[in-house]
Amino acid sequence: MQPPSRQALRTAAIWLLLLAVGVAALLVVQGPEALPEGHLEALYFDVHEGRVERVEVDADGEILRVYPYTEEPYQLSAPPMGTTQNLAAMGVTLDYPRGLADSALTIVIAGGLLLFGFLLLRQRMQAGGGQVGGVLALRKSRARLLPLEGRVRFDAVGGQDDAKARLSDVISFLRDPARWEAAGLRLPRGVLLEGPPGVGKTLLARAVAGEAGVPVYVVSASEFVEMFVGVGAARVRDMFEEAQKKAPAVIFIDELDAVGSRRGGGISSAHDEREQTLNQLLVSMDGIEKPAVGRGRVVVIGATNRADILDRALLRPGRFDLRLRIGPPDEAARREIFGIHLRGKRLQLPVDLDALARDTEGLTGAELEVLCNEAGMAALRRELAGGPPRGLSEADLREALGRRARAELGMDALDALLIVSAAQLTRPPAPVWVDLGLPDGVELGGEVLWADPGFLKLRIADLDERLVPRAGLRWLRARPGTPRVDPEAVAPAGPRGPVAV
Amino acid sequence: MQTLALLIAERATWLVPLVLSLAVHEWAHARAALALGDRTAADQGRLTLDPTAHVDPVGTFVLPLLGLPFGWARPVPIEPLRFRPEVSMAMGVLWTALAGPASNFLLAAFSVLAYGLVVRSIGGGVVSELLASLASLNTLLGLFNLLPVHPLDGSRVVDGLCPDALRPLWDRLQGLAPLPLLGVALGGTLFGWDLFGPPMRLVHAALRWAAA
Repeated sequence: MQPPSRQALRTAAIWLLLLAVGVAALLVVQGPEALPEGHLEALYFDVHEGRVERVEVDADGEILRVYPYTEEPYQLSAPPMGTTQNLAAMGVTLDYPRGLADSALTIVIAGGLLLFGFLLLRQRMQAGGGQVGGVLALRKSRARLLPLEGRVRFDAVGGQDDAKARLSDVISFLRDPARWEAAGLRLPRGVLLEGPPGVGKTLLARAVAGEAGVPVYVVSASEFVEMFVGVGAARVRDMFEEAQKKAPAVIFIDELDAVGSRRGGGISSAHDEREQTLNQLLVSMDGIEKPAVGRGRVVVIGATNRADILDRALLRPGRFDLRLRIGPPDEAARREIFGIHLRGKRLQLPVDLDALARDTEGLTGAELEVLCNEAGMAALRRELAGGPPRGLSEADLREALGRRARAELGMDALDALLIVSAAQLTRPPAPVWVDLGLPDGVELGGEVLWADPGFLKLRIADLDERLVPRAGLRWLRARPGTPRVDPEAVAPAGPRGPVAV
Repeated sequence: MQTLALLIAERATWLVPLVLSLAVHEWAHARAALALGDRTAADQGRLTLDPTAHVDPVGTFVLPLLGLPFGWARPVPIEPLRFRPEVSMAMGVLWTALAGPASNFLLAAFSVLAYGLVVRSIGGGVVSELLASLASLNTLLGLFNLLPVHPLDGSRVVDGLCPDALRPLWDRLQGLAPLPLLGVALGGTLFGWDLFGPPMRLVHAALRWAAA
């Protein structure tokens, strides 16, 4: 038989405690058995005659128990005020037995109840981390320590070579600060990963954790802000304190714009909480509270897809001094990403990854992952329907791709055209008219005024201009007459992929 | 002073059985859920007879000490989606809900038998008193929780058994949530309803039978 656990012992102890309280309480309440009721006059008469041996006073004088020498004892309930004094003055022996006898029991009851109440409160406070937190639990950081097992490494991130190179510096600093400090360098306090959704910002941050082998706290910025002013700030403080204790460490704040957007935007006080949280974040990142010597090796990695709305104080050197722009993957990166996501899936060869990478222009890493997954599901569905267990074929990928975005084929020519225009800082040689279908089914047509990897700007009518996100377009067609440009002619294709600023 | 001590002692005589019975009640919910595959309650540390895990500081401690005729414990969380596949969610909820009152009836029955044993061997006394109050309190708790009124276990049993035709009506009734409960809780005091009189007389008869 295994020894009882702590919890079992605690349970047993509490049951015993409560049973003791219950028994003690019953003893007190029961008291001595009731005696037959007597009369006040009889009592005075008996006392006068000298027949009373002693009188017990009980329940704060509410009950008098009279014990004569020879006759049967009797009791008086609720005697008039002053009876006990009268009896004392007449020389009767007065006993207060219950006052003494019950005090021990009373201590058991009161002490037991107090102890139980204390245990109850402590249990509640310990459970505070859960859903039923006390007020104090609100102030705890919600950041979770990323477990060491299951961490990803850089090879799980396709492309983004520049970002990886810059982050490797941070990692080597975290691992071996002495060399850097000897060279008079300081660790970047913060790294800001910015880029459109789905390009792998979070994955990169997790890979940094995996490569560095240091504790990593993961938190989403929206988890700081609560209904009550000051809670967010307290949570930021708590998180930094936790991380300092485990330094060197990495704090990863996802969706940084939730607290990091520009201050002073709102008139109402509803923004106070967010602003306080931001201020605390600024102060904590400066490391004023704890000197950086030896222990301050905490690096904050922030991720956002709205770097444009971030507060400028957050972006100044000394806070997020390394800004990495994570763009949608280029062709080589897409090939690599396909490789990563098809790893471990059964493949029906041949699969021309190069062709797939070429034809998935504009898709992000997350979208490529969905593509691979959908193709895998199609293959599995076929097998479950009784098909041969041959795995996922290129046709599956193509079909998934076709369902996702029929637009991408028109994009490259458009890009090339716009890059030529940009390089020459001119309008396109002729107006570029396109028709396109938005993800929600709406169809639009208009003149392309500008395009970047994320957006097209269309002039639909004279004064109606619209920004159209390119991700997820159902289809896009250039109207006849659009100038064709040979992509090879504009080979130095300007900024692509991550750019460190 | 002595009256205050008496008052507290009087409250403690039924606070103690209440707290212990509620611990058993909530444990039974958690145990039943676990048996049906839902680990939620166990994961939250509710699969224990330790009263401090179940008791609500205000609802089961302060209010009864103040002598108010109502209270509550912390409900055990149930996640029907986590029941084993062969257990339908409605039935899973029903059985988990039934486990609580069932545990109280079992405890009551056990208390009656133990009461009989104690009275026959060492005669009446404090221990037998405690067992007697455990018996009546648990009968009361089991019956009260079986009332088909929203937050109580009984309403979940009706949830599971309610035919689809009557469901809109039942949902409407549940929408009234706290009102019927208040009615039940205060009806006895305000209008002298004797909902629990007959079962209590039954318990007393059972106690007399066990002791005789």
